[in-house]
Amino acid sequence: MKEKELEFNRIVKANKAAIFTVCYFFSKDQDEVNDLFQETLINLWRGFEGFQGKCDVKTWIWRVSLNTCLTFERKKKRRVDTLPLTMDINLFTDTDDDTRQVQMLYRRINKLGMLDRAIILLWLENMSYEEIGEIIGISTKNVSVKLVRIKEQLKKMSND
Amino acid sequence: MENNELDEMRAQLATLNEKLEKESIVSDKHISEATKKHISEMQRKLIIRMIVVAVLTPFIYLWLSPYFLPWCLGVISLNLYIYLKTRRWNHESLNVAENSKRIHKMMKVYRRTRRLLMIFFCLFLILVGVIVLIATKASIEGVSKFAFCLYIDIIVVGLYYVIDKIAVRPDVELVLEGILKDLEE
Repeated sequence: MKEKELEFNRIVKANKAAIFTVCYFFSKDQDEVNDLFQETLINLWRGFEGFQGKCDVKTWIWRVSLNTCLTFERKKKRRVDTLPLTMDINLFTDTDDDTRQVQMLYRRINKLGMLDRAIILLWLENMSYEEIGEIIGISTKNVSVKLVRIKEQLKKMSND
Repeated sequence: MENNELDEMRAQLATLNEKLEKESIVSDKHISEATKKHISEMQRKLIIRMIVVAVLTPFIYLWLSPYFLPWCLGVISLNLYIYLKTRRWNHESLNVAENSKRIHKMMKVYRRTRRLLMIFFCLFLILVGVIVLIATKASIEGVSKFAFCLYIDIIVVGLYYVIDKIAVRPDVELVLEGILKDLEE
């Protein structure tokens, strides 16, 4: 394996949790997670050559993953079969306590719009408004305005 | 929203991350297959382009000018060249970085050549229009033919713009535009 290939594999493996988290919260079932994950890998691979460390790897991974998930809907019809992920857990069907907690979070976040989902995920990952803005491509002020609205929505949901 | 609820959500996300860290999720085979899929997708697009131009060639030949034949053949040859190059990659043992590099380079050449073909097409059409205009001594027929040439030019440039700047643009830019629109609303 060449150095660059090793580097790509290393980056993907080091950030697998972030990629999977995004795919999970933008999917409706395990099959869709597989599709999204593979689509994200392709986009990461396509952008890897041009990436060259222009921004933080984490920021780049989040940006590509979120972008892939946000644009996935319109590509759905023309996608081909994908490989299943090598995972022992299924976050949609498993019933252990931890998975139930994750599913609770999934249900909350899944009620939000696509963009709101992206923002709240980044915020829950303890990212700063600047980082969120950089990944999503909006100003810091817009991030804070959006977050206030998202919190209001979540509050309304929990009251309902 | 109560702060404890947000804390709860953060804790749930931390649980998810913890679970995911224990999983392998993605294997080398998975990464290779994903890149292979991309090559196949690109090949499909190349085939479609070749078919479209091949179908249009007789019409261009008959309706516009036989001089456009080299242009059509150029487009088909270029697509065929890229297709044959990438087809071989698919059968080779897949090296992610190497293929990424190749495709990147290939697409660069492809875009540059397509731009050149477009410029050549437009200039040629204007030249035809000017010749007709001079030959007919700026009669109504000549002016209308010149206007028609300009009209086709505008369509070609417009199509080129749509394909190159919108369809080929990275998805991220489109998403960001949508987000900004969403925020403006």
